[in-house]
Amino acid sequence: MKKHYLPLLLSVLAFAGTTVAHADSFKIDPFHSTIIFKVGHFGVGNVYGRFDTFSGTFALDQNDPSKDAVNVEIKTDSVDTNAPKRDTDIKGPDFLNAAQFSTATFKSTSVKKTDDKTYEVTGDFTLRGVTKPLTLNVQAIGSGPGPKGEFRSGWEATTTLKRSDFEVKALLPAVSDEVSLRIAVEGVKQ
Amino acid sequence: MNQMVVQSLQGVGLPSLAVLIASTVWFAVFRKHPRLLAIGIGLIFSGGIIWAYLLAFGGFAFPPRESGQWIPYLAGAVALVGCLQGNRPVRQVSNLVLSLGTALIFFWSQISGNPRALVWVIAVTTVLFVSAILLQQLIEDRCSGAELSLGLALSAGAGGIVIFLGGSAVLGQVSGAIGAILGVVAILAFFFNAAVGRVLPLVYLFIFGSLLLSGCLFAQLPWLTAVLLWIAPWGLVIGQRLDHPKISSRVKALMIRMLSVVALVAIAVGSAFLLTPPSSEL
Repeated sequence: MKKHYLPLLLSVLAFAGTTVAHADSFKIDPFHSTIIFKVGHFGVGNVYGRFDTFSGTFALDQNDPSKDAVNVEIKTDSVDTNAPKRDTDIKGPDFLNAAQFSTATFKSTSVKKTDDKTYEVTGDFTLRGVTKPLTLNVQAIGSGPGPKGEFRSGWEATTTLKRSDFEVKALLPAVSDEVSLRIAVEGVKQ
Repeated sequence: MNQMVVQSLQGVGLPSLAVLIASTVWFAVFRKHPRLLAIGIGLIFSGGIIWAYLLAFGGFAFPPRESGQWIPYLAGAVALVGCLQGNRPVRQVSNLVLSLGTALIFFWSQISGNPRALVWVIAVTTVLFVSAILLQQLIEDRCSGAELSLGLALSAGAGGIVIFLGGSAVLGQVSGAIGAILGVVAILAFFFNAAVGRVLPLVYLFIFGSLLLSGCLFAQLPWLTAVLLWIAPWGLVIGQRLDHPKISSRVKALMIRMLSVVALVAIAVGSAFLLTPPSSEL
């Protein structure tokens, strides 16, 4: 009798496997990913910087984008504006306070497809211990096999936040309240 | 004028002006009532610090999540405790509680499974507690209100410069404001020839201690500079020994008593310039 159940059991397992396969999990490849920011300086120019150390994952469900998810963790002491003395100040208590808050995180709460290749990813962004909702405008760049045969998926996201919302209020308005973020990631399918 | 300079001047000037007005009234009315004078000047000083913090940080954080955000709450709490301190045992127990509380503000989140943090808590508590006893008893008993306030003003004012050099304009501004406020109190105490009591030095001790500790732990303030500024007000004791009985002018006597404080503050500022990399000016 047990043999009669085997095909049924295999079918159930196969179906379950198919369902899981739709939500593909990707790990961010830091060597082919970048997080840069732009901040205004005295209203006359913009200064750019980047975070050198970060990690994260994202999940893609081809059938249901609302099941997509993104998690990113940024090491705040990895800020680099091409000016080591300024980086020290930004890591200090007036701005990121990296000694007390070593990471900034983004955890998505909803994903909405807005166009063929564009999405709105809303999530909780935590900076300096303050968590606020933040929406990323995300564009799919491409996907396909990488040099070692691994499957890669590339995305680029932009957003603007007010640093005062995260209680980073030093040198306002000389250093602008609005900070623009651009996040370009390649993820490797796990 | 540079926008940042204007903001800094406002951040230092407005609380000082408010303290000048409030303290003038208080000194004029209560100069013959040492207990009430001490309570009032302590509370006005604490209020000045809270306003200086508000101008520098742009608001209060509640609940506070990081050590710097505790400054206004600590200023209020220390002033209230200082007002309630009566006899010596009560004073010492409350000073110990305040010292431990201040240390925990900095290291509470790290204590779990971290013996080094516990060592820090014990060390900071001990330094604050011993300093509180020394500042409240030793200096206050030997110094006039003007001498004490001016000594503390020099140390806090220089603290503003070195913390700014250490990379924190905001904390530096708060320290600079404390220096300016104490300078105002020193002038009034000199003019009214009155003491300032035990509350003001207690508030100074915990707030300036927190600023120096924040500067060292989270910015680039050298420890040597912080230690020199911390001990500078005790130069008043040496200053008294320099005083000459023939000097009748109160101004000259005050200047002479400040010599050792000025020397220690100058060495501290010099060490900051030598040991701290120049600020980026962002």
